[in-house]
Formats: sequence, C-alpha cells, structure tokens
Amino acid sequence: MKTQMLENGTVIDHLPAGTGLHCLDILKKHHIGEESIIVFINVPSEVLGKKDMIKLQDFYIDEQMATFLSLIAPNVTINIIHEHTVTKKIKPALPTTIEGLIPCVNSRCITNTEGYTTEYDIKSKHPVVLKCRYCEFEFTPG
Amino acid sequence: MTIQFQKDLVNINDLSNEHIEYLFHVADKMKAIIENKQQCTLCEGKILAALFYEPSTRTRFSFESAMHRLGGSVIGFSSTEGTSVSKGETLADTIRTIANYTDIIAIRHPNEGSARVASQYSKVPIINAGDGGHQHPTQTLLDLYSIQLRKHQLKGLNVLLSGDLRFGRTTHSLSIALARFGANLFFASPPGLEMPDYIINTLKEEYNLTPKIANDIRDYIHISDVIYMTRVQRERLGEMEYLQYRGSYVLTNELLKNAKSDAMILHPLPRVDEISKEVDNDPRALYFEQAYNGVPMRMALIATLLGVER
Repeated sequence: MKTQMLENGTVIDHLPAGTGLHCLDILKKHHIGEESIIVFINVPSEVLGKKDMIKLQDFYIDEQMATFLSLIAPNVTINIIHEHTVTKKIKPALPTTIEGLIPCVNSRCITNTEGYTTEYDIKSKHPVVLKCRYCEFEFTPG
Repeated sequence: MTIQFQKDLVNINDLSNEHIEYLFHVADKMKAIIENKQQCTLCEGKILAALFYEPSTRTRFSFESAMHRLGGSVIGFSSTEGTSVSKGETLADTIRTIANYTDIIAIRHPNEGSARVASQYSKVPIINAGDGGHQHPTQTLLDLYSIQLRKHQLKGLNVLLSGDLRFGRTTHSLSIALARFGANLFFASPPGLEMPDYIINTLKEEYNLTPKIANDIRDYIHISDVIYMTRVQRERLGEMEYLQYRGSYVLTNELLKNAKSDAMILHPLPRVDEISKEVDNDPRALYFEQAYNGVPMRMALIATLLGVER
C-alpha cells in the first residue's frame, strides 16, 4: 500500500470506506479505459478509521474530475505520481455551485431532454445535497 | 409607487412580497377596467406569444383575454403540431426565434425547468405558465389575489392544500408564497402523492415553517380558512397509477359540514371528481371567481413586465 509501488499515475486517497468501488464505477463511466487499477478497501486510517483507496496506473485525474469525486467523498485527496514521486497533490474544495459534470436525476428536468448544461447549488456538504437550478430537484450524487 | 421588477417571471421567488402586493394593486385597477368595460390601450402595438406545449383552457384563454383587454394582440400555439417543434426544434431555438416577433412570451411546457431555459435565450420577458410538475407562478398570483380580496390578509390564515401535491405544480408555488406571507400550511394527500421533499425542506429551512401533514382532509378541514383542492395529475402518472388514485379523495357537502362558515374553497381547475358538483352551490365554493381573477392578475403582470402599467 505504498504509493512508491505506482511508477506513474494517480492515487485517490481518503475515500470513505465502502465508496471505493462506487467511485471506480463513476471513473469508468466518465474517463477510464484499459488502465491498470488497484482498489483498496477498508484500509486503516487515522482520520477516517477505515478508508478506501484507488490507484490508477498511467492515468491522471484532472481538477474537474477531482471536484466530481469530492461530491461523493468530501475528504478525498488526489496524488499525481510521476516516476514514483508525488508531483501534485489535489485536495478539492467542495464548491458552492457545480456546472455540468453530472446529469440531473429528475427525468422530467429540461436538462435531460435537450442537453442543456446542468447547474446545481450545493445545499448541504455533509452529506452532499445538490439542488438543480432548473427543476429545483434535490439529490445526493452517487 | 416605484418598484423594479426582474425581466422574467419563472419562479414565484422572482417576486418579493412587495412585488406581489404591487401586482394586487395593479390588478384592482385592471378589474375596474374590465368591469366598467373601459377601452384600454396600455399594450397597443404590443404582441404576446402564447406558447402552449401542453393543453390548457384557463391559463391560455386568460392570458389571451388579458392581452386583448390591454389593447395588444396575441400569436402562438396550443399544440406543437404544425410548428417546427414537431420537426425536433429545441426550446432554445424556438424561443430565440419567437422573441424576434413578439414583445413578451408566456410559455407552458411539460419539462421542469423549461421556463428557466426560455428566460436564458429570450430577449423579451418570459412568463412561466406552468413547467411540468415544477411551478405555476401566475396561478399562484391569482390564488393569492383571490384570497386577499376575500380575507383582506394572508398572514395567519390556515390554508389546507389537498390532493395531488406531488405533481400539482400550483401547490408548489403557492405553498412557498403563502409561507413568505406568514400563512399556516396544512397538507393532505393520498400516500404516494405527498408534497415533494424539496418544498418541505425549503419551507422549513428558509421560512421556519413546518407544515402539518395528513393523508386525510378530515384532519384539518375544521380549522381551515382556505381549502385548496387539486386534481390527480393524470398526465404525469402511468394509467394504472392514475386509476389507483382516481376518486380517492372527494370534497362533499357532508365533509364541508365541519368546515368554517367563512372558509374559502378554491381549486386551480380543471376539476375532475375531487370536488363533488353539489358543492358548487355552497357560497364558500369560490373556484370560478378564482378563475375569473386570472384575467385582471395576468393583465397586471403583462403590463408591469412591459413597463406600461402606470
């Protein structure tokens, strides 16, 4: 479980225990293709007690994707690794508004029928609750 | 009185209480114009587009009547057949086009948030005439106006909203507006048709109002100053689901024996079977008076958004 094991890629750390596979599903839907992936589940953690972690070989997560993950895992930390060294650490702050990234879960929302960019206000951070600016539907992403 | 309005009315929260009270004042003047059969030219040379992607009787005709009574004219459609919408034109493109031909647009659309999209693409004022199960702010204005005319206040009134509160968009806008004016809210709906959580949360978080909730109108009818009924929104339910709810709540003379002698019975109409026809003869049944108030209130709104009401 040492980051040194990863030569190049991304370590997604501090995911709440039980959310690792779910986050991986989301990453697969949006970005990841054939890269090598390791998911650690129920890793002991001083901060969270237990946590999940994902290592992605030769794949780099951008700021937007990091923000997206923060909606599911508010304490997430992203480490970008080059040649066994952490070259960048992303600790995304949960924004007050979100544009795009995820579809509205309300199937009757206009953003789901004609492809308008979604916009949300963040109503609550623990747990994260989004409010669609179009249909005002509230939901927890994931 | 000088008061600045936003360009559009998409959500009832686009209007402050002060805006709404101003519209009451303008609607009173419009009512006098109608009742005295005065010639009105406030909107002479102006064109209203009435874009109704969903069926409507009262809302569409009252918008059209309002614009004609203001001396303006109306174009539009009541079904998308025969328009480019049936060819797949997006809402944004339709709005950008129609905004070039008209001075103000009233839109009813089946998708929630559609009026917000329309407002983003229009250079002329957009009025939300109902967007899916979301909001119907002009109905809220005429509902508030109807209550104000009879009760002379909104603060402290006990208002019972009953029926399909899940999809009944009129109750969504109305409950928010009533909370802002300090009314007490009571919700009664069959299980499965309850008020959406986001409305309940908004009432609690923004207006510190926890509505009383029941599945039976009998629980609160005796303390209600206003009994606001709504039909089951068949068009937003599957047929089997609709049949399950049809006839599951009906306001009858028998039930009204327990209601206050000065209670107001309102309904945004159309009625299906949720108010028994025998109730029509009860002096407390005011839903057709309420429908009439839609014209002066929409005259007030159109004239105000066009800046010609004074």
